Amino acid sequence: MYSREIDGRTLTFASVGILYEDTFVLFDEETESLWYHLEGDIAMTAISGEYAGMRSAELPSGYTTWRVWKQLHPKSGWLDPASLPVRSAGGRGRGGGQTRQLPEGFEPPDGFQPGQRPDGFERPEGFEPSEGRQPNDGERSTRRDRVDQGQG
Amino acid sequence: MKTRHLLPIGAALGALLMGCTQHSEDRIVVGPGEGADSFEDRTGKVWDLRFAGDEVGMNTSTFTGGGGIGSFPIVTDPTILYEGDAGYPSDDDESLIIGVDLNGSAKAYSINALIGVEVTNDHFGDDYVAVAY
Repeated sequence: MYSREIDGRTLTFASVGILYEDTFVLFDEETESLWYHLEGDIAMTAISGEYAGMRSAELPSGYTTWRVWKQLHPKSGWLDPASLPVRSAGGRGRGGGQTRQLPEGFEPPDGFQPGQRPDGFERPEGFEPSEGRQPNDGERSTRRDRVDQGQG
Repeated sequence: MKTRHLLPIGAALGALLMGCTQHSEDRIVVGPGEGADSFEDRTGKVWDLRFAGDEVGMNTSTFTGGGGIGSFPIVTDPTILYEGDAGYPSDDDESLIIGVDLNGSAKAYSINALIGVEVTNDHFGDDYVAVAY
């Protein structure tokens, strides 16, 4: 999760369907700059356009199940999937969960690291992520991994 | 140009095959000349990638896909359900979610819902955020 407040403006992000290292590149509607979360970084960086070089801080969030989350946050809201617009028929591409390591010594403001799974988290039996994705499981083979393993 | 990785000598050959350039025995540099200056998406829009390649050190020849603007919907201020609303899940629902607790407000974004949009733009009080999958 990222801040949308950049340079005194509130940006609106969306996917533009472009992939880099199997992860979606985002763009902001206001300036059509491209944004990407570089591996090992703690922010998303604008890599093209008016905001090239600007950074959007990653904010604390976490993967878990609704059951566990609801126990911790009894009054939690729930994104209504029925309210979401339908993707255009011409849309292509697939999702790409970010997997990255936080820099050594990084401490999120409230101690909740992005991608952290709370105690008690267990993947639901029979759960199959779309197209084989494992959100933030930290095990996705990256180009760097393959290089380090001499598999390039 | 940006130095990206320090690699053992033994991995250097592998790195070369991945499209990187070996500039010394223990250092791999990805920089200009190894990628494209731009990327044309399927709508014909051309994205300038010179900064990505020259300053960020991305291998710009490996950008793929490219449905373009509009290939994914732009989601802003989505409807959030609360206890008692129709469609609010039961407490024992095992759906995978991204949970956010900010400014005294907690919201859950189901992965299955986010897959279709990739990003939703929302706010928690005065903090405006993008929840991305």
